[in-house]
Amino acid sequence: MKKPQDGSFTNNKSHQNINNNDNNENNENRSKCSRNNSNNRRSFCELSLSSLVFSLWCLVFLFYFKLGLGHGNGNGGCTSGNSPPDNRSTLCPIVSNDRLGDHAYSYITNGSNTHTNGMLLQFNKSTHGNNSNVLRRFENSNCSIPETVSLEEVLLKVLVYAASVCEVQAQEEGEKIQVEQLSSGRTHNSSYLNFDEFRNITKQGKGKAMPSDLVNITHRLEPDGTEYNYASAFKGAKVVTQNKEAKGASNILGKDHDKYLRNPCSVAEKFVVIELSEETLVDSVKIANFEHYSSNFKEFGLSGSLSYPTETWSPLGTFVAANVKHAQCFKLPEPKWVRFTTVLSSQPFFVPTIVTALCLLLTLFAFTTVRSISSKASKSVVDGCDFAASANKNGGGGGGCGCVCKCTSPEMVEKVNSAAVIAAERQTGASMMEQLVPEITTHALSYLDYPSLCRLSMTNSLMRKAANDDNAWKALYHKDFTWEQDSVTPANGWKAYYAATRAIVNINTEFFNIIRERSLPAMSRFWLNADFVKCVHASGELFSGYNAVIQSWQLAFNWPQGVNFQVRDVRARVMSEMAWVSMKTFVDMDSGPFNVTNTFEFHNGRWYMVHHHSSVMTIDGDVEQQLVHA
Amino acid sequence: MSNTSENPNPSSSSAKITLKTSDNELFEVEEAVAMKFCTVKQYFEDEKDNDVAARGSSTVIPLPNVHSAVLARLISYCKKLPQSNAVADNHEEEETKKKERKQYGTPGDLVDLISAANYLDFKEGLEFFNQALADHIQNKSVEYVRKFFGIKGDFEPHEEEKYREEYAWAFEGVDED
Repeated sequence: MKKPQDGSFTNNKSHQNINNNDNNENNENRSKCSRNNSNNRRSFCELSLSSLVFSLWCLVFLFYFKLGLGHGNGNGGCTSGNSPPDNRSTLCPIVSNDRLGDHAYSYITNGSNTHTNGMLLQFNKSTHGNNSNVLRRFENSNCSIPETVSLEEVLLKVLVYAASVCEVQAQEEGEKIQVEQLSSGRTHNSSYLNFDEFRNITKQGKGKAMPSDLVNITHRLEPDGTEYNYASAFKGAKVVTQNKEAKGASNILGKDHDKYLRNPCSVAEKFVVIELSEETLVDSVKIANFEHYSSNFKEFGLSGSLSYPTETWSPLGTFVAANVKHAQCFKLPEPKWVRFTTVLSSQPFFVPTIVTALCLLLTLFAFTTVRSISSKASKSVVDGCDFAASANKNGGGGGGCGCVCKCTSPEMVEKVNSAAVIAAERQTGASMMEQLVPEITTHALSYLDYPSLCRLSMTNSLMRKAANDDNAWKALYHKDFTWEQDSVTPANGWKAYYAATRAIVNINTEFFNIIRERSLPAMSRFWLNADFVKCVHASGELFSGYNAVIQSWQLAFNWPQGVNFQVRDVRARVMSEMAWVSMKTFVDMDSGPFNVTNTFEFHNGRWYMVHHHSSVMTIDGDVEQQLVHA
Repeated sequence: MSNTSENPNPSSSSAKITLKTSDNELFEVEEAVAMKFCTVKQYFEDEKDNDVAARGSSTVIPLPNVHSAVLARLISYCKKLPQSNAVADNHEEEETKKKERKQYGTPGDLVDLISAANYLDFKEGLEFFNQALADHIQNKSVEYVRKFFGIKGDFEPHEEEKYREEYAWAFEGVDED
């Protein structure tokens, strides 16, 4: 993302966007990016339109600020619709007018999941009710300059306020000892401290005794075998706070991939504080950005704490994400007991490419044979996190906001849908496969043949889930049977279709084995005893009805010459109760190769042959395969 | 990527790139090798675009998801790559490749290698190690696979019985453990 270098550019974009109700956020964000540049601001002010947009952004910002604090300004601000324009409390109604309709609304409502206070409810009401248009916003825009000033003051206040919490990382020193103990426990015993022990050590501060009672950790799983997500909203995890520019932060914990957390690229420090559903030993974090039209997150840091608000965030690690659109799993260097997790992105020293979007958590899964102690930590909302400090370091954001969001469009909006915190166990030896990202597991499994895949699926429920992946089975089907039927969508998934095809192909093979063995009893059992079965032999004779067909085979088995043939190009199509197979047979007889079609019906739990048709293949010219289609 | 790897005189002309692993080890690798890792490549290119002036060529690329032991193996695998890149339709070659794959020992190692290769977006490596992993459990019994990966069976006996029935055809011709 290039920062706007000249005001007119910005304004043009804003102008376009204003005509487009869907893109309000873009305006806001773009305005914000230009804020730091004083040149920009001058030309910026000249256009009432863009200043309006800017003020809108400010309003949004303010609104979220209030939400984030969850205390303080109370309801007055948002409900006093007709206050003078330079009073920031008027801003909320304006915002609500603008953000009507479209997806923006869903962010707001989602926010209410986390911060259900009266203010928000009222806000939502106004959002609902109003249909605003561009002209109306124009009227409001005149006062945008004074607003800007006052808003900046507000912004400063916010930063100061936040700064009080930002010693955080400075205090990690004290934690280190405990961390070392933890890690030594892990390496030597391949076990983790249980939560009590961890807490004791924390209390002692410099406890020296090695914990004696080490507990093996196992993944906690959902009843259906999926990983337990400690960061799922359904499990009670919450977004406690986030940087004020962030919109829709609570969406990162939900399952809806169409809802996301958005952050403007220009924000120096983006963070989210998440309260996990319970204290857990966090071993890995899974984060994803499924939105294609936004920049991805790149570098981010994690901090954790058992309580909140806290003075001591212990760092869990910093990570660099690949620029991909699927979920990525990040293992922490040291698993830690954590209830609150902070995700910080955009560390200034890593700059160039960075996070824009932050995102989070879905699947915190993990552990415990350990008791999970659910002393529900307080849910008070405090804004915090070490972000003011780094913001300062960024020196006003000149190059510091090194977003490399390569947005080619005017949009600087970043959307993040969802992400996941996976706290996984890392017990040596145990379920190494489970440490792999699901996509990778699937990929790895696609190299297996079908019995191996099947057996793998029987090792445990998690592997069963992985090994039942539809795409793996589809790939296997194509590999083992045919590239035909690519457009087919099997009703019960590819695994079932694979199995059914495998079964039919085996039965078809059995048919030829019976001919080789000349076993009339086997052939009698093989056919369905019905009057409609038909058999056309290579001689051209047609036999109709079960008895006639079996007699014809009896005759055939009395032929003196040996029947030695090869079957090739077997193609099977299987429906729920019927299947047909076409193939070529090459026989060591004068009559030459045959095109063969067999049809089967499913009765009483097994497949019966109901039709057999064999005809001579013209040897030179390729006779089209007589594939029967339903 | 192929262009960079075909640098005619890699030892003298190609720049070195420094990679920093999760345990703070520094690896100096030739650019041609590093460019096999698409994640590194992208980072590197972004870096170039952004602040060459500020940092010069001494950029250290942090790879917090990769342990030094793993990276060392990946790099050594990577260096072997160009030779084995020739068309591998030959049966003999397939056999040598299979032997080569066997060298990458324990499942834990392989899983680490795969994760790292995935993180680094190192396609050849990903394919190779996945195949190696598959080789290990190809046609083995359920018990063997459990032991191999340290998986604990969590099915109820009757569940397991059901699955075994369902996939009876998967149990024919299993290799000796």
